[in-house]
Amino acid sequence: MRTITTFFLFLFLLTPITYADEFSEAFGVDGLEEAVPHDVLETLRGITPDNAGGALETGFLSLLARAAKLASGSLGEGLRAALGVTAIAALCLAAGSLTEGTPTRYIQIAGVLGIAALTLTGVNSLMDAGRETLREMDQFAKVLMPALAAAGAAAGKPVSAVFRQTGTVVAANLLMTMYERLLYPLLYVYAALVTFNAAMPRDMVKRLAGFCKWVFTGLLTLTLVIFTAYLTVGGAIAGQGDTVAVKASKAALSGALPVVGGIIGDASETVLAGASVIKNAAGIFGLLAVLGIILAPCVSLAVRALAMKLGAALTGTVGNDALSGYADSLSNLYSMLMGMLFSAAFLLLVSIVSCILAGSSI
Amino acid sequence: MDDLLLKIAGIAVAGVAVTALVKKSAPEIGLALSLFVAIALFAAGFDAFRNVQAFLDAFVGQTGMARDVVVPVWKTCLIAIVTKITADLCRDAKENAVASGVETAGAILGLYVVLPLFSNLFELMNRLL
Repeated sequence: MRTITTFFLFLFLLTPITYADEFSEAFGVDGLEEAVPHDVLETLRGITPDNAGGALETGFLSLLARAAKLASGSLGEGLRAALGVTAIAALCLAAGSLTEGTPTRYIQIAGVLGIAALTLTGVNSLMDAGRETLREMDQFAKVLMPALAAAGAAAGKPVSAVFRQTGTVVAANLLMTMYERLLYPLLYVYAALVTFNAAMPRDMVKRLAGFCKWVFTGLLTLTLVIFTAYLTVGGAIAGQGDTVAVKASKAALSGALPVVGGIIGDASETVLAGASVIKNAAGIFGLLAVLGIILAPCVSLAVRALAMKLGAALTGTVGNDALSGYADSLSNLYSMLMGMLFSAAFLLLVSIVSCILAGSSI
Repeated sequence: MDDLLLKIAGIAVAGVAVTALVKKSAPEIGLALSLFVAIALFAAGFDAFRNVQAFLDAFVGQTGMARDVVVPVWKTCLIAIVTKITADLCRDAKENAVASGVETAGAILGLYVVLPLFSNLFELMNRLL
């Protein structure tokens, strides 16, 4: 009798290892790779949701290498744009100084329109790329969060897993709606206002453009603060519920099945730990994938923002303050778009890290 | 380039001296001389101007900037310079009304030249908003 019991107990202990593939399939972790864009998977070089557990460092290094490659590719383009802006500003300044005393406001207007034509088409394509990135992140979150929730529930955190998944999905949907309906139009309005302001005398709409920027950054910050507070406060409460639920289940199991119940109750921790391992691996894969998804647009935006700052500095050096201010505002436009992508990624990253950390206390 | 500057300075000083002498007895001839000197100075500086244009062309080629963007800005700057010279000549002849007319025409032409850029921007903004 003891031999048979020991044999079955041994089989039971092996369950999480033998059936890891079935666990992954059941939790929906298998579908994660399909939800990640192909170029991100290539960057991660063979890191999958199954083997990502110990590959965080390797993944980060791969992402850093790709970021360096992308940055060097975008740098030339950004520098060319900065030089173009400086050349136009210098030309306008030269013509302006030659024609001093005559009303030549139209030189300034020509300069602003030239810089706008040079940069705003690029801004438009970057905004489209940003939209695509947000969509990719949203699609990935819709696959990742249920998988993490299922694995988290199996790992003994059913309440907090559901809580996090619901919170993240709701917040992601809210953010996507806010981006599409409010923040993107606000960016366009900001671009139009700073262009108009640079072309017109006496900073006519400078404060209005500043107000647009303030609303934009305020909304992003507020959303992230509310989401982080929701995860922190709600997560702590849900964590208490999980502890009580797991203890109650163990007590019920031990009480219902005399002798074997206690052993099964202790062995169930192995199953919980197995699910936790799968959840952590999927979580780390999710972290790397989210960083990989935002990598290309963010590097491109960061390089362009820096290049435009350089253009503003060079334009200021040649003495054209109005066009220098305009180049600076365009640099802010790139930074605002980048902030939008970062906030969407931050929301997902915080949620994933919170899922991983919740599992580590088992 | 130093030679060119000396040439321009020589033409200007000689032109001003002769014009000052002639102006008292025959103001019309003085005005014609002023105009001639201005045209001569502009022609003398034309080589340098062509060098600037060649530099700009090379710059546009190297930086990959669209010519459609640079050419209107360049044209506007030229219009402003020509407008300034013409308006000053008119003022020398005490024809302030004509000078104002030239400046207004220059401003309209300057804006007209950048209209394609403006319409591009308007189209882009329209699409964005």
